[in-house]
Amino acid sequence: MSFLRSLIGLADASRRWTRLRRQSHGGFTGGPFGRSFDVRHLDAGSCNACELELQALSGPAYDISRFGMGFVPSPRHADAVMLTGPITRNLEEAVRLTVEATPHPRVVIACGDCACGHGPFAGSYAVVDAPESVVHADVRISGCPPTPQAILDALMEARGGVS
Amino acid sequence: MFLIVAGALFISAALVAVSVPLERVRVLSGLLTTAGTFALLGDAVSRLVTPGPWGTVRVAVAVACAASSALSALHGLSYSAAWDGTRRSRALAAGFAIFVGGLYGVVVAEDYWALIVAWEIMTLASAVLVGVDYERPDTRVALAWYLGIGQISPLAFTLAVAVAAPPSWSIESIARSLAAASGPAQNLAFVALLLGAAAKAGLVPLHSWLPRAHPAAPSHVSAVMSGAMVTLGLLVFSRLAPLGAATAHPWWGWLLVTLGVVSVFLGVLNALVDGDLKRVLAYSTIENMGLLAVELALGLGFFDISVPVQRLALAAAGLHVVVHALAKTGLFLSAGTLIHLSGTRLLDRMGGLLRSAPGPATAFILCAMSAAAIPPLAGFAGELMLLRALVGAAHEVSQVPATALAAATAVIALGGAIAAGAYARAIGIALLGSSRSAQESHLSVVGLPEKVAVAVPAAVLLAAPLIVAALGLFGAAGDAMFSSLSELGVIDGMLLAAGAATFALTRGRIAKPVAMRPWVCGISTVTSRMQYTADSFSQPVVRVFAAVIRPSVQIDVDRHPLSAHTVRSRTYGRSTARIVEDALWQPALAAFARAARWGKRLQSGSISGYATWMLLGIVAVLLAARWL
Amino acid sequence: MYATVLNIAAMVVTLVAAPLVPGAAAAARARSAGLSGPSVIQPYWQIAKLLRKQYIAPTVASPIYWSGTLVGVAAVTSALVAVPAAGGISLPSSDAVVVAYLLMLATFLQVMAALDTGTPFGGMGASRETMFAALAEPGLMIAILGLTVGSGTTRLSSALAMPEVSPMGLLGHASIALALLVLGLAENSRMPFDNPATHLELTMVHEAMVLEQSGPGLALVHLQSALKLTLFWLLALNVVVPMARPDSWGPIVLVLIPLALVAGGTLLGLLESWLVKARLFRAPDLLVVGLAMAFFGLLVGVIA
Repeated sequence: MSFLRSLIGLADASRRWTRLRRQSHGGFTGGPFGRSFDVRHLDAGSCNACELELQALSGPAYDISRFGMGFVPSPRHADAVMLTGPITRNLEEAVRLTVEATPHPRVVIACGDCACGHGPFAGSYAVVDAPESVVHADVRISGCPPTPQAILDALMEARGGVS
Repeated sequence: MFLIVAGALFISAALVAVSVPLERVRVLSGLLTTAGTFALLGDAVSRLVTPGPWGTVRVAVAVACAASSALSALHGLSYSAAWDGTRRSRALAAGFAIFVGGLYGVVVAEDYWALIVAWEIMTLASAVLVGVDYERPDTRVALAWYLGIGQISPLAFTLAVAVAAPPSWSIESIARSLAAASGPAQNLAFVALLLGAAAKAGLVPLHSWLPRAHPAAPSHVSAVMSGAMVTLGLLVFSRLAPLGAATAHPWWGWLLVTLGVVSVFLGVLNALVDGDLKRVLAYSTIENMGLLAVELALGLGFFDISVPVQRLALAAAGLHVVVHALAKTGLFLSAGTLIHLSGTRLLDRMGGLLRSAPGPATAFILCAMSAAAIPPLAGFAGELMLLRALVGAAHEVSQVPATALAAATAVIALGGAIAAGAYARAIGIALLGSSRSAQESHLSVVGLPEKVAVAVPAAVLLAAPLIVAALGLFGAAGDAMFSSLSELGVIDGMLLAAGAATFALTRGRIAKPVAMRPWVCGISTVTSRMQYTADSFSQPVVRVFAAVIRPSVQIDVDRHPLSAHTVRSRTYGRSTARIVEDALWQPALAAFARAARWGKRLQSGSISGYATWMLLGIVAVLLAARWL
Repeated sequence: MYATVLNIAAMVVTLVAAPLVPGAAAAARARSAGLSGPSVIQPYWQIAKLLRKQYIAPTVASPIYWSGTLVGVAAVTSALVAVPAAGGISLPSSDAVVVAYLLMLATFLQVMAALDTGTPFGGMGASRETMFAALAEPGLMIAILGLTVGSGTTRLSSALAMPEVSPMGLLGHASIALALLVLGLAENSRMPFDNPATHLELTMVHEAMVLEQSGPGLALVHLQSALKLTLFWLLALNVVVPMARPDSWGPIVLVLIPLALVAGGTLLGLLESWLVKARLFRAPDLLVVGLAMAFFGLLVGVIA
């Protein structure tokens, strides 16, 4: 039964596919990453609101896979490290190591107000004074949490040639 | 002529070993022994070029023995420095010279007495060598097993000869007498010969000495024992067995194939599980002898198959003997060097040896790939020929035997994959990654003889397919043995071409990585103890084959005296059951001990008792002579 | 001469079109879940990008780390071009035993490269992959031998020369095709043995071995898995349609091969979206079923 449902899903998606095809890759052809962009998400003490919005990105509504983007498990496989959360003191070393482990060319994206340095937990004893002191972010997305569309726009911008 | 020179050199090496001052024993005696083995090599090569009446198997065994002895003697020149300055260095040097002399003597003997004398010389000399480190308890146990099972071979062979009742002692007349003997006599002789061969080759269930004796001996001795000596049993079997009558007794071939297949399976499984580097190699030898038994079963005419298939199997046997000798010798020699460098024999204490000793480690990897029959090394050619022979034989025999041969093929295929896994584990844990212990050995210099001795077999196994393929292009190779090697050489060429194309695809950047600390999920301190151990690597396969391996786990927890919830340390140990020993040998030895205790009662100490027994014995003999 | 040119063209097309299989599989899997999904040619973009990125190796790694990946791709390439559908039927590697052992070489080197990283995840992936390979690779060899043993040799060319009419023969072929399916899923780290899209390291088998790979090394890893998938798919295709060869079908094969690969990838994607990942120690049970089916195929080939 579930197999039939997947077949139906296949047919249904194909119709949407023809419509969305024109929007694919955002009309983009150049840059260091071409048409493939892999992101490694790192939770540096986040409250998980940003993670829920990130999960929406992999769903049918926003679907980053049609742009050749995806989440990968290892920073060695990644082009971008997406940081959520205010970088707690416990994870400070790991954040640094993760970003260093990502091969060049690479982008660091700070997702959410916490990662940008001005979220609700800024100034707490358990978080670093400024995320910028741990790792420099190339792209910032503000919002608490930011909408999936805003994250998608930032991903497009990150892919578009920031080195 | 070569033989006389070699014999003289070995005898002088032994004399030198017992007479010169201790510091000079290794070099002087070693040089004489090495020269002697080169003479043996000359003899073997001359037999290869002009075989004369010698069969494929005998020529192959001769080449194997000579090559293995030469490489080990060369290796021993610097390797046996570990025993320098002790009286044992005399025993080691003299014993080794006599050992390789006796070894080759068994191969060239044309007369049964010469064969048995050479055999016993070889066994006793190798026993001295196995027991060189006699203060270790496991060495003493190994010696007991080695001599115990080792004596089965000459006894069984002599029983077969007695059954034959030949007119003269030459091997040919014994073989003729056996061929002409009656059915029951032939059956008895076959079983005796097979028993003797299996005991020497380490086929299951007579294999229990092999994983004990080969690790206990010094590595250059283990190399000769594992590479060359184990094939001698099957050689004598092939020379004496009444092969012409084999098709009249179909169960002969099946018994040989069954022993072979079971040895393959148990050998590789234990190789994958064991934690001692040299014992892994010893179990791999058991597997290879199992393969050789199957090849001989097909190639010597035990089955009713066509001549081309028989010749293919026999060529497979010959190539396998030579390639296995080279690979196993290379493996043991490089393992010995690596063990001296790291100071331990346990896989779980090693690591990163490829970076600290690139020469021996690379040789180990190449020889291991050949022993696991992985292309592009030469070992694959033997496996290819064996599988082709099995498929050809299965196609020709009737349905029931074909099913059994198909099952044998399946088990051998499974064995091949597990062997690859076992060697990947040994290489990965011992040579790659980083060192798991801080142990440093004082022997941190690898001598030049050792380096040469491990490089030669690796280079030969790597280059042989390519050279034979190149020769084949010029039409020089015609034999079945060489056609497989040249086929492998062409495949090697394909691999090289594909590799070059892939290298070009990455524009050469694949060969220039930037070195950085590993990612490991962002852990800040990565220690070498975090790596997988040999036990953990084999755990999934152990779980799959738990019914055969029967692992048992011991976990000891040391808790803090003040708080039972605080654990100070945990110790994990895993041991595997030795099924053949528990099922066969322990009960047999216990029964033997009981019988011996009963027999002690005959030694009552009273003269009248002894006189009574002697009287009864004479009466029994007179009656037997009267009635028979 | 014409046949040789056609065969070589087919080999080149097969090698170039190999990434279509994982691409189509990911696309089908996404679309059956209701997403628009990635393009079928997305693997090409990913491999091209990875080839341009920096290549990092752990400090404890030896040359085995990168040469293992390189020789692994070479081994799978040599095996793939020998499949009859790819046109390599007269190559020396067009042999059941050789194909199986070339794949064993690739796995062997991958395991060593994983242990060379000196990380616990490398060891974990290597040990699990060894367990799968110990059962799947002999199964592959036995399955293909079931095709070739009917003629008494191990050459793949003889597998296609036999006319198959008897019901027993068809049963044997069906068993072999099923065995290739099950063992192919295991060997290529697909559901239900391994989820290629998982992010949880403790559930990884193949992915755990390549967590440290980057840049050109990772590109070669993706290429190798694409080539291996193509190999299994074309072998299974040849079991069902033995006459699918360039010299029998002519130049139309050059168009049919990419189409067949896309079709195979789509079927794989649909199958994966239907299956769930099995518990790690249930996988050997499934593998033994595959082995048994392969052995049954061998028995039929030997007896019939």
